[in-house]
Amino acid sequence: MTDATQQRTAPATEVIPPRRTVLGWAAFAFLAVSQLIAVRLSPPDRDMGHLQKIMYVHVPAAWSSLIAVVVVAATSSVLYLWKREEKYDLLAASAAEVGVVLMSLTIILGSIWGRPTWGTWWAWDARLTSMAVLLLIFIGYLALRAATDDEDRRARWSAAVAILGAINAYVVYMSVRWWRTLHQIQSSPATVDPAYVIGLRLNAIAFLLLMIYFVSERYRTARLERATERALEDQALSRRGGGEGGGGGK
Amino acid sequence: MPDVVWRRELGRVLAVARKDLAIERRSKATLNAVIFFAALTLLLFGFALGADTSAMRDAAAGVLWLTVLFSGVLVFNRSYQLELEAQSLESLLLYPGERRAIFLGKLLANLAIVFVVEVVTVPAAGILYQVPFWPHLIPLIGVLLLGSIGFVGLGTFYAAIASRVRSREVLLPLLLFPMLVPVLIAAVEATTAILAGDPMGNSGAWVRLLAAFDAIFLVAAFFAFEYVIGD
Amino acid sequence: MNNLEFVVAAYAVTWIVLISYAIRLRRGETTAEEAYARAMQEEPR
Repeated sequence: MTDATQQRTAPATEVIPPRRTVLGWAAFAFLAVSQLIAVRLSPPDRDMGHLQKIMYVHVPAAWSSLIAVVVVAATSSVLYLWKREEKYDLLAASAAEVGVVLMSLTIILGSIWGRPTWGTWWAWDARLTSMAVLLLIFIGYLALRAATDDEDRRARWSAAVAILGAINAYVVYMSVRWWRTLHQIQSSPATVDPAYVIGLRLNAIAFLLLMIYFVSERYRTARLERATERALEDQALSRRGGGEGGGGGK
Repeated sequence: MPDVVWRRELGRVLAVARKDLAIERRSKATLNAVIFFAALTLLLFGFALGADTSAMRDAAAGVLWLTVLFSGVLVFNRSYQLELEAQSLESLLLYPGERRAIFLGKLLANLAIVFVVEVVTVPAAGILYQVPFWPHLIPLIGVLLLGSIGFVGLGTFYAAIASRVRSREVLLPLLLFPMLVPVLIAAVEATTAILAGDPMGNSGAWVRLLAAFDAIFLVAAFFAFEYVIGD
Repeated sequence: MNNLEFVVAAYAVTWIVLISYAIRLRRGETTAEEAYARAMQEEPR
């Protein structure tokens, strides 16, 4: 018997969260419906024609990406440093990855909106620019994780990077905004017209649901991968112990 | 007795700083290389901006700060490398409260080195880009101080991570520079205003932003260092 | 009615990005599930 060589107190069966297939389909369906409603509801703007409709994807993408990064990833990082439970580290990493995807989408959409509005693909708009900086901060986060093999270090270090990055999100925005007002007049998309609010809210909820779905699936994959790693490590350990002339010849 | 504790803490901080600086003074390798790199960067920016002296003058503050950032970043990894190679980091960590002393000590040492680089770089930039730094020396030193503290503080922090990972040369700038955007913006704006004699009194607001940034992130890095250096 | 092509482009990009990412997540998850199942089957006696 090789039980004596089992060093690790790994649980016999780890609870892996289930697939959220229904949530996925529901979120995408809700998004489609919300977009249809919003597009039908909103009249063409006097100045910009139908361009305002881009706000129904750009703004919700921005909001959900910020929630993913500043709320989920940073909070999870704090929880990890406090409780040192691996699941918080995996949740933070999952949220950061989803946040990076959504931030990239936000910036691309902002650029698409900007081209007919400003005449250029990039005009150093304060919000887009500060989002680009935040995107780079979390790309750095992912790069750090990829470059660190030791799980404990990876978890601690990326938690610190996420927390400091999230703290800086607002500071970066304020700095860039002051910098912009100093050099040029602001020209940000206006979103206050009441005709647009309902559509915007619906789409915001849709994007939030999608973000939650993405994070939970990514998190599930991360948990599966870690559980597999641990199982393989345990097997390698027990095999080695059994192979060396029968479990620790005492 | 809190007073004794303070003195002991300060003593440890200074000991770490003195040790780092002593190693640096003995070899002088890094400092010289960094200063030459800074001079080189100033020249390269000059070529890139073209022969138009008014363009150079407008860009001078920006070029100066970018030069400080690009050269300064070369200093930080090295401050952990020596211990990494000698594997003496573990022995440093045996004392309680030692980690924070390490952070502050290394911060002070790096700050001293960056200052030396700036003492050479600022006059060089003044000459190459034809901007008058001497008449505005005091406010300039103030901005340099505040900007450098934020720069070196975060640089010392992130280098504790980056220096122990592969691809450290690119990872440190990748982690550090996005975080420094507020410092870069505020420092360049304040410097530009000061060099122009600050006609609109803008520099005050930017200096306050720098001070706030320094306060926030020195505290944040100070507390986070605990989690980053313990192994 | 000008600018319509930008609106269409924006919505197209949105759906392409979201669906591609969803598919990529699913594929990664399936791979992880299979590896997990294989590892669980070989539990030491």
